[in-house]
Amino acid sequence: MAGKMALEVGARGEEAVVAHLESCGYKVLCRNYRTRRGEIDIVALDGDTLVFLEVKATAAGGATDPFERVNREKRRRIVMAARHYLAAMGGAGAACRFDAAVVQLDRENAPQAVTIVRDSFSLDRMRGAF
Amino acid sequence: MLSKVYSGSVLGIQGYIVEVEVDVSGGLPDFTIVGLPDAAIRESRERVRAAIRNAGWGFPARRITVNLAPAIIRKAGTGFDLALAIGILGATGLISGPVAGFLVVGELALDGTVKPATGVLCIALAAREAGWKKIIVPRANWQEAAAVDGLDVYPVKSLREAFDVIRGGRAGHIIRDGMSCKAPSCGGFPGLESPDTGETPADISDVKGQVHAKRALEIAAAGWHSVLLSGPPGSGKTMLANRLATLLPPMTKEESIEVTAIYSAAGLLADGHGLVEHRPFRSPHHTSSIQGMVGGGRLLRPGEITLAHRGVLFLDELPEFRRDVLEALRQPLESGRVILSRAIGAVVFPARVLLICARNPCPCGFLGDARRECRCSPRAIAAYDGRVSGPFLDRIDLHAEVPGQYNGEMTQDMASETSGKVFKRIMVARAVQAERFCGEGISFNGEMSPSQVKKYCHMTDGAKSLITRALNSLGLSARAGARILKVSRTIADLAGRDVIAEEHVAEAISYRNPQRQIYPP
Repeated sequence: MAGKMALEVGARGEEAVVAHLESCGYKVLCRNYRTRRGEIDIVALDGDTLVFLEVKATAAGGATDPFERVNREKRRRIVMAARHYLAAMGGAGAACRFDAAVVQLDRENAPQAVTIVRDSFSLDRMRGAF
Repeated sequence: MLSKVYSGSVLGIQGYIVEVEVDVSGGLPDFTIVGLPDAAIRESRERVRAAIRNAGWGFPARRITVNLAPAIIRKAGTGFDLALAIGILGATGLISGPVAGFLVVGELALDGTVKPATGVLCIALAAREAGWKKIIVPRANWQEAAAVDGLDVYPVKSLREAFDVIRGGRAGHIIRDGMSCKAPSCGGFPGLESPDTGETPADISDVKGQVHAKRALEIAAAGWHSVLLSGPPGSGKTMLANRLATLLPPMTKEESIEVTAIYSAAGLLADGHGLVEHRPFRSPHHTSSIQGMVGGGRLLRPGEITLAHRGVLFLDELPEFRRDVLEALRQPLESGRVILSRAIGAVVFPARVLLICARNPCPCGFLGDARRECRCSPRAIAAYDGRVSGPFLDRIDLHAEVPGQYNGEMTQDMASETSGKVFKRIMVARAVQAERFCGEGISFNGEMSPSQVKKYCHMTDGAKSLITRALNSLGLSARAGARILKVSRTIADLAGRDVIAEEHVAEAISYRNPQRQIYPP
């Protein structure tokens, strides 16, 4: 996968995640929140908790663990964007959570299943990243 | 939400109470610990997180801030894990009402089981001092905590159990004043009796002959005087020293608690071990460092002299010890304690040891021997002698010769006294001293201060003149004089005399540094 193709697969994956979240009672607030220092795929509200989601797609039969790709640098960018979002929206004191969503793709790169990993990381595991 | 849990830690061997404040608030998920935690405590975040999850609760995706107060003491160790976990559960509202009233100590495993912690006895002692009534401890440490009267001990083996105890649900087992008061729903509580070591003790009659040296050990054990055994290789010095332990009076409960606190803080107490009942016997190797002997290190750990507190410190091959190590022991031997001052604070370690040393008379070992000839040059002998400083030797009360044994002395079935028989005499002398020093804060003649020497060492006129003559003609120091008096006191006690007579002083003097006269330099 490369270039335009990858973007398209990603977009379809996100579509699937949003659908899944809404069926689970989340309220999606924002998609593809981008700042100079980082970006977030989906911002949603789970009850009164603000959830920042990173979406990862995994190919059919793909061996690599999708979570491995949410590496330290990626987390750093997510946190930066989350801070930016909180500052911009005035939600500094809100309860927040970082979730990860994994989209399983079939052979035609169509989303098959979505798994949400709640609280996938927290700041104390990334000391020195900022 | 904020919650407060109390835990404890140890500095040196002194326990202190630590307030664990946990604040759970909104914001990006985070978990920070402040209040001078060391690396092990910072790592406890990972243990606590996993333990809470694996015990069946969700770990809150919140901003968690933990403060360990008093914040000026640098905290070390893993005993805060359980308190941290309880604090987090409390702050997320899982435990309604205050957690107060319980002191919580324990390390967590990732699966939520509670692992043994070090220094539980020290913390329990500090807890009682500070007026606490209830303490939650790891199951493996309950006997230590139960040794402290007036504390209700709640042994737990998992985070879940600790949670239940605090919520007042199933109380599990409570141990009150050393007795198990089991909750009606629970089964028996095994292992209340202290574990039996099942060793057959050595006996002083194992060593044949050596009457002079055995007498020195008897005096040493009766009055807590230091001994130096000097003799050729194979004459039985080490055997004798090892058997000194069989002559010592048993420890009182207070002494036992003191010793156990040291071993508890040093992490040397086996799991499930209660009070140490036997006097310690430490025999450090002669390559030991200063830190190993007097204590120290980053975490201020006790040294051998402290681990031998209320017991025997045996220095075999005395001249082989590093000189600076022996010099470092001088002051603690005199004062009975070690004060270590470091950046993280000053600690006091008790160090009332019965010092016993063994040495050869010369490098080859046969100087003054009846059969074998010494092959050492006078220079080598002088150098060997000089390895142990005069001030150090001056602090040794009883210098005893352990000559090589020949002429079938070994095979001859000599009527050697058993430890039991000698022990009886020692206990009589011990009882006399107990009565004498009632309220003085010491228990043995060997521990008398100069003013106490003056007060309790009444002598006949003959004894007085003998000691004056001895001091002059032997050129002994005033300290040596005082030490001779203390030894005389013990010899008189063993003889059942109230006033020290000439013969008692004479015997005491005979143990004073004899090799200086026997072997010219």
